[in-house]
Amino acid sequence: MPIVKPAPAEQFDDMGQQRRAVLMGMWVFLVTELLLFGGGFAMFAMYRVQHPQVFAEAAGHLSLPLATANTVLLLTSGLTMALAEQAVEAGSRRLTLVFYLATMALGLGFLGVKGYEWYQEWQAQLMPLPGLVFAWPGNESQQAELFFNLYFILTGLHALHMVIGLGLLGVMVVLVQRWRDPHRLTRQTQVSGLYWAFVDVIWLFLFTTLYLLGP
Amino acid sequence: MTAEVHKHYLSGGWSLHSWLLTTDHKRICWLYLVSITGFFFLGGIAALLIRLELMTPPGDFLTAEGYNETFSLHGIVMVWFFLIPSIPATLGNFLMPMMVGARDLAFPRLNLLSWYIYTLGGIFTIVMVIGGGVDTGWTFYTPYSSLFSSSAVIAAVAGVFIVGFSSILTGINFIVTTHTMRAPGMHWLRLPLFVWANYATSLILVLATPVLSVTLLLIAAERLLGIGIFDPSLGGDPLLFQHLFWFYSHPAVYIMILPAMGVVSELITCFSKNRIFGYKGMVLAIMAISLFGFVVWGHHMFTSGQSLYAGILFSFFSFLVAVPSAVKTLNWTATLYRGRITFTAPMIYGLSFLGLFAIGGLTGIFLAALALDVHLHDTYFITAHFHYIMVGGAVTAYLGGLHFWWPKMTGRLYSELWSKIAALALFIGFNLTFFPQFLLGYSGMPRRYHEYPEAFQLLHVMSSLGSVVLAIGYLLPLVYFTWSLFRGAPAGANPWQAEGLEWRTASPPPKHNFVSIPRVTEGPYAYR
Amino acid sequence: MNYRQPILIWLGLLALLALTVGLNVLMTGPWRPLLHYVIATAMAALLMVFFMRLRASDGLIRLFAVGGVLWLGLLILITLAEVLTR
Ligand SMILES: [Cu+2]
Repeated sequence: MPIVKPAPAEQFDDMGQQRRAVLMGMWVFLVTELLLFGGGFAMFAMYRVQHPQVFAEAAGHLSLPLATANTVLLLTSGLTMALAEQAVEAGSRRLTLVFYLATMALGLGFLGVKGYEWYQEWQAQLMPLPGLVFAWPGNESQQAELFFNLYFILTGLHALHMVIGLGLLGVMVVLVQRWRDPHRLTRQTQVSGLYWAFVDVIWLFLFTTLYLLGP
Repeated sequence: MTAEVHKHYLSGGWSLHSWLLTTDHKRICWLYLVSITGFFFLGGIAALLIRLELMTPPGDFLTAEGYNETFSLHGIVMVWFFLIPSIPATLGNFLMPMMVGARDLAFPRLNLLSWYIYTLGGIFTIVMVIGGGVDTGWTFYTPYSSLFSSSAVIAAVAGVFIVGFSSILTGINFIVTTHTMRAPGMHWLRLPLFVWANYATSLILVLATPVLSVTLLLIAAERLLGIGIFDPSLGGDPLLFQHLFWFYSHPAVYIMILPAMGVVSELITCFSKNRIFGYKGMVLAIMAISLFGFVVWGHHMFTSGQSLYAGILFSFFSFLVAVPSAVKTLNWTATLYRGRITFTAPMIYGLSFLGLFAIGGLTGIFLAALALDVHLHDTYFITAHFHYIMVGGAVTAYLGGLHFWWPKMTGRLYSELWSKIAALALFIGFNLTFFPQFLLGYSGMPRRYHEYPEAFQLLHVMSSLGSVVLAIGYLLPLVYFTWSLFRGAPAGANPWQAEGLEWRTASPPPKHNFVSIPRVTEGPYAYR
Repeated sequence: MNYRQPILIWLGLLALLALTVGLNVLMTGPWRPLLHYVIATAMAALLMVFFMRLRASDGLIRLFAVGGVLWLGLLILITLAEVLTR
């Protein structure tokens, strides 16, 4: 297969500069992503301190076991992604592919579990959508509805990021399959790895904020 | 060798393909200039309609609804599609790589993408705002925007949301370029203040824009799904919207004014042939403004029912931001001292900026005072204050920068006489338009009303006549710049005898900016 | 290839997850939320330092990472301060 001699893009002086620029660009992008979720977290914090009791009660209606299982899936996908980065640096196409596919499978597993959780909440009449009945078995039904609205917005936004991440990994699988320019692949794998781990980090705080602050 | 030198970035051809698919930051600057100028004149037409309505006390030219839609269009277009991208996306795009001594921005394709997002998103929003009769004002305040307005709010906020990505991409590009692409010897304290200003602006773009994005998403969700996050009758809190909105939108003022300050630093030094007074102080002031700007947002909410203690804190921090702003103004003035001043058109714009920004800044201190703000809130005093900052400050500097770097961008000169007339028309027209509005606001004329008592007519008529003079000041450059593009005399590499890397290469510059990457041996503004 | 380090980090993450979920089931009281956030921060730090290679990155990138978190803190802190003193 053709191996291209490593050369930086025309605006850079050398490979080191290009690598630094690309990684820094990705980190700055992740900071913007953090603040995107940050607006959501700020909103949640504000309502959590205004309605502490009903928010704690509502958290008790979410499925902690499923969310814990999901956390395990995501953390494991973080591991396989880190291993994929090592494999691409070691120049092993086969291993890289294996780890990429494992990461994607774990990510899909996460989305599957998440979907099942949403389905359960829909069945329990806790999904506050127009046209659906919201049946809250307690006081302060409106505030509980607010909790579930925030829950669906935040987990939905996170799931959207997972879908984008999976798309990114799908593209990477094709690129690794072709294995044209290993330097470039290493860079791209690092960038994808950063994104994937970031989605992981966001989930850890969503998990803590939504599921663990129960009664 | 000579053939090499004559091949500049514009000689690559004029085919549509060579423009729409370019990744050259200098060509992308032109793409931005075209879109931004279009948006600017559209917003300007809306402004003239507003001033026309306000010539007479009764609402006889526009209906109340029509007036709401007109000022919404004016605000949405001018804030989101003109002021925010104006200097960074055009002059910043052209100059950032040249000033740090690089061949291009770090991510040229991202740069092109950000123009597409900006232009298509902008056109979409404007079509929706005009077609859908959006009447919320540029702020989209809840609960009006979420519960009551029957116009195309969802489409409008979706458009602004999309354009936000363009800001973020530009911000990332500038930050990474400043950090990683500097030429040998160009260390941080040798960067021109224009670069510092755009760097600080980029930090704000990156840190604040995403919070606006999520807020706009929630307005759309609230209208579509009725989730009640900002709806008090469902347990929500409308003040939350204002918190998140102003967490972006106050720093957004600095997105507009910091690059303008960067431009003015270049103008004042070049046309007084003096080193900038207190370079390090200027750098510190830029960074302080951009960071302190994040903790003052509550001064927009003094009368909205936020906690008094928070109000006191926000008021205090707002006063504090005045300190670095004053440092900058005084340093520019000190730079003029014993300089060899020439009153070229760019310098007239630069000096206009100093005066107008000083008035805008000082009236801002009135508004930061808790008690006084109760009287002045939502009156024409506010309108006058922020127009002094955004139009008197940002737009004046934008035009000044355009006049300063035009010979570099096109390789051609423009009419000296007409450009001076335009600059003076802007200064006179601007003051005539907006100074009466301070008086109107102080005597109680609220903003966003299409009719008013007879007693206010004289000042309103003055303001409307001023806006005509102002419009002439904006239209003239369009004429002589177009003329210059085709007929202007060749400018040569450095028509102003200015310092800075961008003046050491040909005009227009070659495709990769420099024939060979320069080596920097001294700080900026080495005038003597 | 060095499998050891990533796997050790992964095991550490799982242990911390078990700890925080265990606390949630067993412990009550006002300090519990704080502990949850301390553990979440520790897990995030492990992910960022090792899987996202902050340890091997230059200081500037670390500064960006910390700066982003601080800015988010600023937003939440000031908003909450306003709500709580209303
Ligand atoms: Cu403000």
